Amino acid sequence: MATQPVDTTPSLDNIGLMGRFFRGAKWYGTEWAITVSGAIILVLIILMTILAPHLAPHDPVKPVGSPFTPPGKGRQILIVRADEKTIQKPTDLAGRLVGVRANTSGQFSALELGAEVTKFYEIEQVFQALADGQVDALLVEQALGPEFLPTYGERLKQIGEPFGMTFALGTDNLGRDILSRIIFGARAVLLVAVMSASFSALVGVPLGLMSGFVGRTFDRVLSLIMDSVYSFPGLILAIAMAAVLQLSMREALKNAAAAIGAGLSSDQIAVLTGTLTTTVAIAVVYMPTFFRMVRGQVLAIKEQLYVEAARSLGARATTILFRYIFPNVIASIVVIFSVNIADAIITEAGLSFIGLGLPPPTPDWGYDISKGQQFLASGQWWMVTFPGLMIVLVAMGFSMFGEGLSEILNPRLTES
Amino acid sequence: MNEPILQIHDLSIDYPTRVGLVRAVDGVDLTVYRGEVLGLVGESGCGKSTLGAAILRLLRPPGKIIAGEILFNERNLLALSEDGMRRLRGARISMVFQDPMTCLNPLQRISDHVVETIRTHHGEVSKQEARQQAAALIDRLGIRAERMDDYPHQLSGGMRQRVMIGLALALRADLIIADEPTTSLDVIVEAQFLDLLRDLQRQFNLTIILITHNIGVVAELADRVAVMYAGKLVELAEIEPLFDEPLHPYTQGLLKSVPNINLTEDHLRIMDGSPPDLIHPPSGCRFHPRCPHVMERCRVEMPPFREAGLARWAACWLYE
Repeated sequence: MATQPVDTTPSLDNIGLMGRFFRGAKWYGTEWAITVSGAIILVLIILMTILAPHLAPHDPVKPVGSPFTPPGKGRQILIVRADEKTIQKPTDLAGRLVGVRANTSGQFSALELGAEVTKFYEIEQVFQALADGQVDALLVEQALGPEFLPTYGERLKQIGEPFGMTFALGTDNLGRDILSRIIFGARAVLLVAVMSASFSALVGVPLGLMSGFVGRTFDRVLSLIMDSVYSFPGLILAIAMAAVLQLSMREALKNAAAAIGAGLSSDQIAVLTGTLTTTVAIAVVYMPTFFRMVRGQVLAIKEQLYVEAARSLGARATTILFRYIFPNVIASIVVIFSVNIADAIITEAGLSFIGLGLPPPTPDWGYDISKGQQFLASGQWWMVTFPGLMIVLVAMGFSMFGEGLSEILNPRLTES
Repeated sequence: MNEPILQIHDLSIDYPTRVGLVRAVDGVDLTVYRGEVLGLVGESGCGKSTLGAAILRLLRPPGKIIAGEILFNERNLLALSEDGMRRLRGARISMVFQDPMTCLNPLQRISDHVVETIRTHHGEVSKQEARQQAAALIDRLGIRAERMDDYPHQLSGGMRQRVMIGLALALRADLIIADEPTTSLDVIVEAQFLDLLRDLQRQFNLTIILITHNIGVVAELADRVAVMYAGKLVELAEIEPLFDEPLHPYTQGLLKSVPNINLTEDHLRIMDGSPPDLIHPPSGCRFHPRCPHVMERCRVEMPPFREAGLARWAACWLYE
């Protein structure tokens, strides 16, 4: 054979997969930009989950400011009655105190954040309570001082300068920092969404491959099962699954923890139970989407002439399945996967909302949205908006990465 | 030319369908000799492709071989295990398909196709060696070396068809079944491809079963021609006697209906009628409803496929 000079100028075919990825802008244009943006979003989110303790400004589960602090606000002022002697500076409050609540003897005292009963919801009532002597001091959002103090004239006064920190994304109804909850929440979301999507892909894809490839009774039975699962409304099935799984899962975890001698607190057990239950419940719901898509594609590809040609050249069944059929299905799997992750996040939110997901104090975007939606009508838009944006961002990141990757992986679609 | 490589005895193939049983191949007897090119011609749906697929035991379901035997080098292929059959495919018997556009895995490079075919049958060959063999083969097919790492979509139809024949030859198969190999190629590429096929055939003393409805291709390449009609073999002869003096009325009609630059419009015949419904085939000779020489006997009795001259066979009562 005559050796011909090998073309060494870089082209799509000789730079390899990583090369395609990093230097693909030249050949793929928009697709490449989309893929890389998706990848950047995902990398940032993953970094966020890993570095959460360093990135988050506050503890995500403890109240750290006034409830309902709007984004970018949060510095507080201390307000006392004009004749107050003992409280001279914020630290005198010994602990964080705002608002008012009734104590057991019927008297009113400053409210420790996180308490379960609040006497007054309206900020006017809180100021009135202070003026009436029902509490000794108020810690309120700095903007409220100039707004209400004039009403009380000489009866109330502000002590010192505004102090404390601002909350970039505001605080929720319990005064927890939304930014910190979002950062920590990414962990739960990614864990549950990625794990459940992977789990359903791991089961659905091989079953779909086998079902489509083998056909006959095996295919009939499996399709029937998957279709009946698919015919359930997703969230309702997830609720049923989670409800059924939760108790046995908790027991199993307790036993497992005891068996390996790991001392887990009941809180840790609850978080683990929630994570695993939601993962499995969601995985079951989305399994049929993988199965149906893969099976359908296999049925179509199986009839392709190149499969028949491979058969006529003596290719083994496994070769045909893994080298001819599977690679031609991957692109669709990637797309379904990214779409399913987005769906899984929403379903997980639904489960948390009705108490079948992660236990409440755990930061969780879905739960925060469900919670925040109650306060949307009263003007606290930031509780819903930011976790919502994050879900959009992550879902979009997966979709962009998935779609773009499927284009890049597919040699037929290169712009030549 | 006298050593039989493939012997088909009384082969019948059924396709059970909802509306009834279709006997696509009905009691076919055929012998193929080493080193010859046998043209298998007939109209669409006459069972020629089914016959080709049956030799490799690659009938599409629900097609089923219900009777007969296929002897390849005196081994009965129908008695072989599925794995034994698989080992034979590609190594000893290969197939070239009609549509080269869809015959290659779109996600595999040309070189990968060849390497995989070689390594499927010879696992001991290293990837580098297989790649060298692939390069040599691709060079022989007249494809430039730098194209061997292209994907199928980057090649032209003619090149892809050459790759297909290359895959069929990768392991020096003894018998190649070419099912309408030129149907989707334009005439110039077709001519080039036929040239290549003829060269390779001579070079390797290949045996080729050329399945086609294109009489021109058969005339170009075949040594002998078998004519099929409605699942039955109706005539078998060497190429020249067949073209000079076709015996069976169907063959006569077939040859007359081939357009030819020397013919005026008046001379180009169209055969009357249409191919029979195979679920309810006509009684007696299947061709009798369209036959210009039909006799009373043809309506009742099926004519046997018998010797009707020197080295030629026909199934017609005219040659009793």
